[in-house]
Amino acid sequence: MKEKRWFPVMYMFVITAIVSTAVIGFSQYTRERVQANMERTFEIAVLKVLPGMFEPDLSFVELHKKFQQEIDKPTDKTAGAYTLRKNGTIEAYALPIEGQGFWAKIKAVIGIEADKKTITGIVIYEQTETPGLGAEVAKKEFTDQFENLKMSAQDKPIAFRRAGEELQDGQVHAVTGATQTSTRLEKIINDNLIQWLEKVEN
Amino acid sequence: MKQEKAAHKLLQKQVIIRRVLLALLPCIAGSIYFFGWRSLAIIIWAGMVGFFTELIFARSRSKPVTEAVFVTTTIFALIMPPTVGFHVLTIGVIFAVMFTKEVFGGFGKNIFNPALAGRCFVYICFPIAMTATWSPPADGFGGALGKWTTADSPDAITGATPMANIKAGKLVLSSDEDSTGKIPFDITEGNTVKLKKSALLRGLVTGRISGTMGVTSAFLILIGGMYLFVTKTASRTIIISLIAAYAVLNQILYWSGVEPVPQAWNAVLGGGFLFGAFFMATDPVSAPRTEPAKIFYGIIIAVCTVVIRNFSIFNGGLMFSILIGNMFAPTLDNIVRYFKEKKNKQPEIAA
Amino acid sequence: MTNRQIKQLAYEGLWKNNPIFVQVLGICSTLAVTNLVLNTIVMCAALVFTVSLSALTVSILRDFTPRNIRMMIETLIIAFYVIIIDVILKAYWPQMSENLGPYVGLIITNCIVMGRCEACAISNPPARAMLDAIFNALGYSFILLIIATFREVLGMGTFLGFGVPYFSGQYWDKWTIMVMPPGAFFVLAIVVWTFRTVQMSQEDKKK
Repeated sequence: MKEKRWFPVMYMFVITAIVSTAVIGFSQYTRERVQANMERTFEIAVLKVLPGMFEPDLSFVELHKKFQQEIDKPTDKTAGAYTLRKNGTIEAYALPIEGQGFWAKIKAVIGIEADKKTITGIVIYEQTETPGLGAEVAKKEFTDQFENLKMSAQDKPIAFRRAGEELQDGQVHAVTGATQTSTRLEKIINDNLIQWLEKVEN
Repeated sequence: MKQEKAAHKLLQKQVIIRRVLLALLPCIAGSIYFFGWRSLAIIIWAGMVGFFTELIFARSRSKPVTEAVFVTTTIFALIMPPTVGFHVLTIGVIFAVMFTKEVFGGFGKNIFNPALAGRCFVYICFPIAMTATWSPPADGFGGALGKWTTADSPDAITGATPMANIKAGKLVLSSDEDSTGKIPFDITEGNTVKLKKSALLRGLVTGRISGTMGVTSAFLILIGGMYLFVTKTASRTIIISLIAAYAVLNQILYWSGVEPVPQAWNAVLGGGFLFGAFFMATDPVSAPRTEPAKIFYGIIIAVCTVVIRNFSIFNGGLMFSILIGNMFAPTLDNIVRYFKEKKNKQPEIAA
Repeated sequence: MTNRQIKQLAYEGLWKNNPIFVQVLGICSTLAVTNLVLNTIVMCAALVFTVSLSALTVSILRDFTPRNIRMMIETLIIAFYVIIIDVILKAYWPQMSENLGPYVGLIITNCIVMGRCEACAISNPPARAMLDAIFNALGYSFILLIIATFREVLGMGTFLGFGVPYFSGQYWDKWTIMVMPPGAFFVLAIVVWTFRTVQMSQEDKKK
């Protein structure tokens, strides 16, 4: 049988069929999880910046469901921001922002209260800044500063200050040594915020 | 360079290298005077680490250690910030001697200037240690001669060099009456300080500014540099073409209003440019050997320095430029030789 | 199989014919995933899994597989196991899946896997094929772990995420380049250099 001409073709076909069936079956079985995981960094970022939405005990799949049920998709009126509503009135916005960092794009979500004057939080969910230096901006120590941060009324809503300096409204301490990342992140945040504040419907 | 056969000796004597070391003495003295005795400790430590690194490799080749290693380590130490940690220094020296010199086959076979390659390595490895912490120079007539280091004064550690401040627009040169005569060390974010031109000039010449250990004073560099220049230890062609091209290019760009290019005098005197021109670009091993190639070599470095210093995010413009120049050196030599051969052949054909 | 044969296989895979410092195979993943020890452990586990099971499967099928299409069959089998791992990571450990990026999928093209299938599994019984594959994968793993340890400790001051005394302290300026791709080149070069030197001096003594 092995000498027959059709044998290699048949053999290849059978092996391929077996292997593909196994792979397809397995990926079908895990499809929902994989899908939830793929969107998870962004969705968790949105949930985290909105007050009281993120529950650390939930699994990714549950968070994915929560996101789909409770967060409203962006519309023209919100100028690209996701919204959290209660009985139809907007409680808070979650604005996805992005821009060029030191090495590559920085992507983040920034949470803003309904009065559009206070920041509820920021999560930087995608960045490839220098590890140990610029990458520190994604860490809690830095992003915690944005919780309940009043925006400055001047032309720059958010300003980065050198570590140790006294802070006023709309100011945070930059990460020491990460001059380039800080300058760029500051610009990304301000450019996006200013643009959004102009567009969003009051 | 004369190659002596001295397999049994520990250290190989090299006349030219001794001259370079002698020429470095004013800068070493300056580093101690401005930033304290720690500078001397750094230079000696760098020399020891370099010597032992080369010793290991020299042993396996059964050759003596070349004195050139001390030039490498001393120059390397002098272009470090005075606050440099000893581990950063050690890593840099080991890298400089091992990866840029020994793995290529030892003295005379390296492509890149070892001191600069080492500095480039630590610059990328330890950006905070290399760019964010500077200590102020000591005041007064006695300088820092009575001190171990100037880095322990309270306002130290997070200042910036005048060059960096000017580039960032925080330090503005002006001839107004109200501008300050003292170079500020630490400028608060968002503020600008007006500085008298003459004050900056004086700072750059005497060297009483914050910066790398031994390269702040144009005057001290020129003492050593002129010695090398007069004794022809360093290639005059490279020095002249590099400085001239750099000054001319800066001045032209300044006149045509390109921001943030400074005036020629400021650019030439600042940021250790002279030190690079006299001591590093002229390194006979990594520079081209033919005279016409040396001219182009100087011009390439000058152009790259202007571009990197003014338009990139890095401050170490000259460092990268000399390394880029090193890269082109063999090719430049080959091109020059190719044209020379062509010239030599032509009369034969005619005859 | 006798004990002696097993020892011989171990010696070959771990030392004499080590995939990294003798055969210099699988270098792209070596450079890419060794920035953190945890990433490396997962990558090594994935490789041990793929290599051993591929070799086993190829060896079981060796009497039926026609010679002219054996390479296609081998690739297919390898790809199958790699996809399984990839999907498992994506579904149950997404963070790790992101850290390793495309390098899990690239195990398919890792020369060690194909090399073991071709060199050993296609012509040897299952037990021998699998042991050979495991020892080779372990030879790869221990070199990777050495590299990763140096890179993580020097670059981040941590080991498996826990702070290492001195290196996580304030006196050590974090050696940033070590956790970035260029750092891997230096560490890999030094490690290969060291091991080759030891190996060569051993061989000289034998003569």
